[in-house]
Amino acid sequence: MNTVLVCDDDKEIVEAIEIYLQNEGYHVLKAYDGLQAVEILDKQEVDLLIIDVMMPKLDGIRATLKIREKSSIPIIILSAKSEDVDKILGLNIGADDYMTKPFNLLELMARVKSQLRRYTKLGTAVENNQKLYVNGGLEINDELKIVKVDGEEVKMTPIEYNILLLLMKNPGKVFSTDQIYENIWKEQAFGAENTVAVHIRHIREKIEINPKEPHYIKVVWGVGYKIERRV
Amino acid sequence: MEEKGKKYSLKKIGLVVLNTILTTILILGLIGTVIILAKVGGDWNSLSKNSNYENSEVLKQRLRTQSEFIWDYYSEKKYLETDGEFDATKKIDVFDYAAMYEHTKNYGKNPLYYTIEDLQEAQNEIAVQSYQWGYYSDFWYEEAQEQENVYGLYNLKNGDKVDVDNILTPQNAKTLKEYMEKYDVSEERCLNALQTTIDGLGYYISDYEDNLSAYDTKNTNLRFSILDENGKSVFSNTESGKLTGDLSDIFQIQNGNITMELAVDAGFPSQDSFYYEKQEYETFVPYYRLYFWGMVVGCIGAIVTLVWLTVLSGRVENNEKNEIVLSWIDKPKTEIAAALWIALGALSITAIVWLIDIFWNGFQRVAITFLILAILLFVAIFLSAYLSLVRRIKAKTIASNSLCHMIKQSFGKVVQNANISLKFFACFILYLIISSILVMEGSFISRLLYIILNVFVGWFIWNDITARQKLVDGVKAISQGNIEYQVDVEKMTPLNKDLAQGINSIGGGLQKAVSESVKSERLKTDLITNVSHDIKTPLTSIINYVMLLKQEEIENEKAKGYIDVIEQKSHRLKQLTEDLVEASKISSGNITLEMIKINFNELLEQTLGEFEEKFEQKNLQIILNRPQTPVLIMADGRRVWRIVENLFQNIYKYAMPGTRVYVDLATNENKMFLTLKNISENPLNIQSDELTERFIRGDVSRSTEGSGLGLSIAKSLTTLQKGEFDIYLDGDLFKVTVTFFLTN
Repeated sequence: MNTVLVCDDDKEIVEAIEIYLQNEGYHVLKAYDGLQAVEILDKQEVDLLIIDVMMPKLDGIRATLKIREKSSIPIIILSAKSEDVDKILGLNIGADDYMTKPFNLLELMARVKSQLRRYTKLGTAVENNQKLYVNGGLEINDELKIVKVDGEEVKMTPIEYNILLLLMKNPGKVFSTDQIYENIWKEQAFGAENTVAVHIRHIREKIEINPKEPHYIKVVWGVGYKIERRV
Repeated sequence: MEEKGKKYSLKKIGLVVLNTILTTILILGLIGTVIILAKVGGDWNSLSKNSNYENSEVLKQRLRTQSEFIWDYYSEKKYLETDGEFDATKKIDVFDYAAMYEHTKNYGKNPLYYTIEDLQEAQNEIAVQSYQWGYYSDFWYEEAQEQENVYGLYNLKNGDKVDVDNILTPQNAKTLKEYMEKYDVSEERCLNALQTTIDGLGYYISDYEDNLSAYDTKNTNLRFSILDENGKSVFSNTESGKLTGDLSDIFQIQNGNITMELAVDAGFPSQDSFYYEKQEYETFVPYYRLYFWGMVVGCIGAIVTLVWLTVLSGRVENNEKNEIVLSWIDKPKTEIAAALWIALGALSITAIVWLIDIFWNGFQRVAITFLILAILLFVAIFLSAYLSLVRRIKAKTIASNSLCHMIKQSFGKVVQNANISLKFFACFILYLIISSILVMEGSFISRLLYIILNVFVGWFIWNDITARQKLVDGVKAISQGNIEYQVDVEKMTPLNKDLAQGINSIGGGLQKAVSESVKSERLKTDLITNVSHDIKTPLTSIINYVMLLKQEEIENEKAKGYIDVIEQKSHRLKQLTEDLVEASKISSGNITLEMIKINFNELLEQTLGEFEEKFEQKNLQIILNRPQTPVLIMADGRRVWRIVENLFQNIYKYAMPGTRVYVDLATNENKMFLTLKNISENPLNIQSDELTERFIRGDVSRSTEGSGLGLSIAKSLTTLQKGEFDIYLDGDLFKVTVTFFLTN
C-alpha cells in the first residue's frame, strides 16, 4: 500500500482527493501548507506528493524545491495558474507533473497511478532488448509487438502500432501527415484526407491520460506530429 | 505705506552716508596724494625729510619755474636799460631782437639800429603785415592778398602801404633803402625783422615794467642773483647782489657760463604767492600720510559698504515675499535714467576737474572746500545711479522697463494683430516697390542687389515649401497611426511653427490616449486573471464533489437530474473563466506570438482529424475542397489551431444536425482563404459583426454550453497575426472566411 501526501490550503479539495485515493486503496496523509508537507516528509515514509502552489507560509514551488534537496519521490503540482510559464516553472524546479484547477479527479487518479508505477516498478524492469523502444513511461517491444504505458499493456491496431513505432524510432523528429501516410501505407498521399490525423487521435486516446493535453504524442500545428526525446 | 517706511531703514541710510563719506575721502586722498607727488616730482621720500616749506621740493619746483621768468627779465634789462635805468633812446638791432624774440638764429650780419622811442611811436601809426604771421584783421589780410607784395607796413587808419623811411629813421644809415643798398639786404628780410620788433616791443616793455615791480624786494620774498663766469653778480634784486641773510636753501641754475642763484627770504616779509604757498604747504603737506591712508581706508571702506549696499539694495526687511522694492528713481525708462545720470555725472566731474586745476596752481582753501562739495555731489550721484542700476538688475526691469522694449512691444503688437493676408500683402507690395526701383535704376550695384533680393525671396519660399512638406509628412504619418511622429519645428517661420506644434500636440494627445487605454486594458486583464484564479479554487471543489455525489447511490431520479445540471453548469463555468482570461489577454495584446512557417493544409488536416468523431456524432457531412500543394503562412501554429478549433467548435455546437458543412481552402498570388459554411440550427437573428463581440451569440444558443467568446477570440487572434476575419450571415447560412498572407 502506497502512501500519498496531499497538500492544499483548501480543506474540501484535500478531502475530495482523499476519498478518491482511499477508494483506490492508498494510504493518505494530509497537509494544509508547504511547511506541514515538508515536516511530514521529514518524519514519515511517503511515496507520492500532490501539492498546491498558492498556499500560506510556504508555497508549493518553494516546498518542491526544498523537498527535492533530499527526496526524489514523484510530485504532482495542482494549481489554478494555467499559463504556460507557470507549468514550465513547475516542471523545471523538479515536479513530475502539473495539473491545472479545476481538474478531473479521475484524471488525477490516473496520473497518480502512472507516476507510482514508474517510480516503484519501471526502474528495474528494463529488458536489454535491441527492439525495445522506451520513451518515459511508454515502451514498445517490436519483437513481441507489445505497447506498454507505465508498465500496462495497451491494445493497438496494426496501423496505429506502425505509426507509433515510426514516431518512437525517431524521437524529436516532426512527421507531416503526408510523410506518415507514405511511410505506413507505402503509397502516395494523394487525397489521404484526414486518415492519419484520425489515427493519431486514436493512439493518443489509448496512451495518454488526457488526450487534450498529450504527454507523448505532440501536435505541431500546421507542421505535423512528433514524440519528444525523453530518457 | 507701511512698507515704504521700512524701505528707507536706518541701516541703509547710514550705509549710504558712510559710503558717500568714504568715497569722498578716497577721492580726496587720491587727489591730495597725486598732487603732492606731482609737486615733489614723485620723490615721496623728500616729504618725510623736509617738513618745512623752505627746504621743500615744492619750493625747489617753484624756484625752477621762477628762474625761467628771471631769464626773460634779465634779457629785457639788457635790451631796454642803460646803467640800470630804462633808456628810451637806446638803440636796438632789429635783427638781433627779432631773432631773440622768435628764438631763431640771427641771420643779420650787419645790425640795423633804431631807437626804442621811434619804434614805440611807429607802433601807434602802422600795422604790420606779413604772410608769415597772418596776424592782422581779415580786412588787411585780404587786401594784402590782392597785392603782389604781401609784406610791408601799412597805415593803421586807412590801410595804405607806408614808406618805412617816412616814419622811422635807422641810426646807422640815413634811410632803410640806403642800408639795404649798402649791405645788400632784401627789403623782405628787413621789414620782417622790423615788424617783429615793432609788434613785440610794446609787450616786451610792459612785461619789463611788470617784472620791475614784481621782483622788487618790497613785493616779493624771492631773492635772486645772476653771476658771470667770475662769480661776479651781474644782476640781482638784492642790494648787495649776494644772497645772504635769513634765506631758504639756495637753488642754482647753470646757463652756459652764467649761473643763477635763487632763494626766498625765510622771514617772508611780503605777502606774495610764496607766502601763501608756505601757509598752504604747512597746512596740508604734513598730513600727506593722512592723504595716503585716507585713500587706502576710503578705498577699502567704500568697496565694503558698496558691496553691502549692493546686497541690501531693493530688499526690504521683514518682507516675506522677498520681493525687490523699487524706489521712485527706478521708475523712469532705463535709457532716460541713464542719460540723466551720465549728464549729472559728467557735470560734477567737469566741476571736479576744474577745481583740481585750480588746486594744482597753488593750495587754496576755497578751492578745497568747493572740491569737497563737488566730490560729495559726484559720489552721491554715482551712488544713486549705481544702486538704482542694482535694483533694476535685481528686479529684472533693465530690459523690460526700457524705451527699446516699449517700442519693440508696441511694434510687435501691431505686427501680431495684423492679419496674415495683410502681412503678406504688405510684404508683397514692399517687394514690388524695391524690385521695381532696382530694375529701373539699372546700375550694376542695383542689378546685383536685385539678384540678391530674388535669391533671398527664393530661399524664403523654398524654406516655406520644405516646412510645408514636413507638415504634410507629419499629418500623413499621424493619420496612418504613427502617433509617435514629431514634426521638426527648427528653422520654421512662426506661422508654420504654430502649425507644426499643433500637429505635434495632436500626435502627443493621441499617443497619451492610446497609452492610457493600453494601460487600462492591461489592468483589466490582470484583474480578470486574478479573479479567475480565485474562482477556480471553489470551482474545483464543486466539480470534485459533484463527482463524489454521482458515485453515491441515489434512488431519487429527480435528484440525479439536478446533479447532472450542476455538473454541466460547473463545467461551463470552468470553460467561461478560461476563455475569459484568454480573450482579455488577446484583446489587450498581452501575448507573445511565436511566428514560424506553417502549412495551413497540414493544419486543416490535423484539425479535421480532431473533429471527425464529433461531426459524426452530429451527423454533419464535411465537403472539403482544398489544393493538393502546401499552403505556407508565417504564423503561430498553436494560435492558428485555436482559431480553426474555435470555428469548428462553433459548427459542432450550432450547426443543424444532418446538414453539410463546406470547408474551402483557396489561395491567390499572396493570400490564402479558409471559408467555412454551415446551416445554423437556430435562426440567426443578429448582425454578423455582433457575433464577434464578446459574449454575444445567436439568441437561443445563449443558454447552451460554451462561453460565447469563441468567435471573438478567433477574430482577435486572426487580426493579431495580420489576417482578416469575416462573418457573413444570410438566413440560416453561416459563413466565415479567414484570410492570411502567404509566405515563400
